[in-house]
Amino acid sequence: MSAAAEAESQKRFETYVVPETEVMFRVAMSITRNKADAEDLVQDTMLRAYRAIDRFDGRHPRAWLLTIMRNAAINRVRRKRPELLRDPDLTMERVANTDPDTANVEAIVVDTVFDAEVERALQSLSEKFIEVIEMVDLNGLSYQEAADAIGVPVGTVMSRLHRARAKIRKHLATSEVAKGRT
Amino acid sequence: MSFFKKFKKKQTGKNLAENAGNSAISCRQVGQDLQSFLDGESTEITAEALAAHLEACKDCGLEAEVYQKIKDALARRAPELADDSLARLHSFGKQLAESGDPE
Ligand SMILES: [Zn+2]
Repeated sequence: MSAAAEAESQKRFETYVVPETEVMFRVAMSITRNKADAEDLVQDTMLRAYRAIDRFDGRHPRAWLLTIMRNAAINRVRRKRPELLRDPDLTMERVANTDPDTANVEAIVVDTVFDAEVERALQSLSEKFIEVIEMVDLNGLSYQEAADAIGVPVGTVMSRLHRARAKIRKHLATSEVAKGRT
Repeated sequence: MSFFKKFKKKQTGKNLAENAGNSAISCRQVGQDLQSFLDGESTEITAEALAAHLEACKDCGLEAEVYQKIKDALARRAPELADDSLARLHSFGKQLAESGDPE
């Protein structure tokens, strides 16, 4: 590669890839469930992106990067997922650590009960439903970006996501927590 | 309650109830489009019709509120991102941007 081309690649990398570091790491955490693996996956993705950046048209950098990440992830050994979900008790810990002067404690406690119920509902769902919820609600991806990251059509993302939330909603309707609140 | 503020923002000035009355959108349709709307994935026209309906129809409004709360609860599950990992990745990216491919 010539020096000029190299300089151009570096500039494009700075513009398109570097700002997406945090999102890439979040998605990588969802994919690998493990900090060290997530870090490796993002580095792998960055390298692949760097090598392909002269062919990137500059449109939708996040979607482009997530597609690269998916391909990189497929090439890796997928670990077994020992702890699929976080412990709802952790949320209680967060409440305990919140400064009462700056936070509305009562609201947080109510939220915590609600969150724990949502968590329980989520745990009853199969992995493909949890995956779309993580991509959209947790990682903040658009439907298209989630589709690129998972490798399914947008329509599949939509139907899985909407069904997953409807199941959670149904669970809430029959649980104690929903009674008396909306 | 500030929940409807974001819906109102999407309105274009017409009286909300009147708008809902004129729009062809039904409660059933709201049920179908509600989640895409809350995810910000609706077209502008659908979003306006939905927002007007949610403001005027109590049942659908409450349903929207429940789904928004579920979304919020799911978003709160986000684990604290490991700062050390992020810092390493940032410097890795920076190094690529400044010195190019190590290989
Ligand atoms: Zn309605």
